[in-house]
Amino acid sequence: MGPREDSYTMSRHTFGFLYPLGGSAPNPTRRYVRFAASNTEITSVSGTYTRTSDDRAIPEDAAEAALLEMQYNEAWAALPPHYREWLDETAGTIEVDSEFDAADLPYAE
Amino acid sequence: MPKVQLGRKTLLVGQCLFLDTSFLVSYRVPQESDHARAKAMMAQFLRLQQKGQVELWLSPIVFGETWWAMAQLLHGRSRWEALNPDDRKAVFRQHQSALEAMTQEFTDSGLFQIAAVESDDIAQTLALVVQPRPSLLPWDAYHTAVAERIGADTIVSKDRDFRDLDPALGIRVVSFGKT
Repeated sequence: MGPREDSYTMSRHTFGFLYPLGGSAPNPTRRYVRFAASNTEITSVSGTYTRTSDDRAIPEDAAEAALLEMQYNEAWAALPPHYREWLDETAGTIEVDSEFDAADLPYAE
Repeated sequence: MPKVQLGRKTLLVGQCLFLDTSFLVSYRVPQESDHARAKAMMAQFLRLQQKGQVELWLSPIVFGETWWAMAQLLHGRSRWEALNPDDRKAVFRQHQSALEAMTQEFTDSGLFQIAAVESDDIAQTLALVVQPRPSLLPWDAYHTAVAERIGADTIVSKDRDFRDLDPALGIRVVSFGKT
């Protein structure tokens, strides 16, 4: 299989979101985070990372999470203040029991 | 047609969107597996609403079912199942104020429309919804009937049961779930 390339365009806010995930321990997100950290000095609002076949450790979930975070942030930034406040006050603000299992939900398969 | 970006996917939505229980729970609960997806979707829905491209609808029964799910989740499955029927009712009563507060949050925001549909209208519409799909669960049938009465063209849900709606209703289902 030849080199695989995927592009991720991330906002500076996303870099800030990913950076705390880093650390010295090797883990699947480290390469991703290192990329984020190495780009903290850029002045533009986005950067692009090209993934190659050498980077198979980058999990799809991390890429998906970064994209979703970026999409949320972009929409949030374009909204008037009272919309933003409502999102800030309601999104993910109900913490459930530590036993939480999505399979318990009434609409789960 | 309005659209939202969800990860790498582009989803086309209608103009009158009915948000169901699975969407509200996913949006409110950070541990939910599709929380990030629901959150990204909600922000984009509000952007579309703010530009006048969509209406966002909820209903009292969506709030009720959402809190019914929350009451179980907040207590944990094993503890919930250990409750006897009277204690479960007591739990619901304890959470009544929380349900009212959540309903108020959405109502007072002015960002959503809350469906107020007469029970007679629902009864008539349920026949349209259920007759061609008798296996539809009661909650889902009720949500669909409300959606039909308000003229919704889209139900936003990850509940697979909605995917079997009668096409004659003219309601498409947009899933925000990863699977």
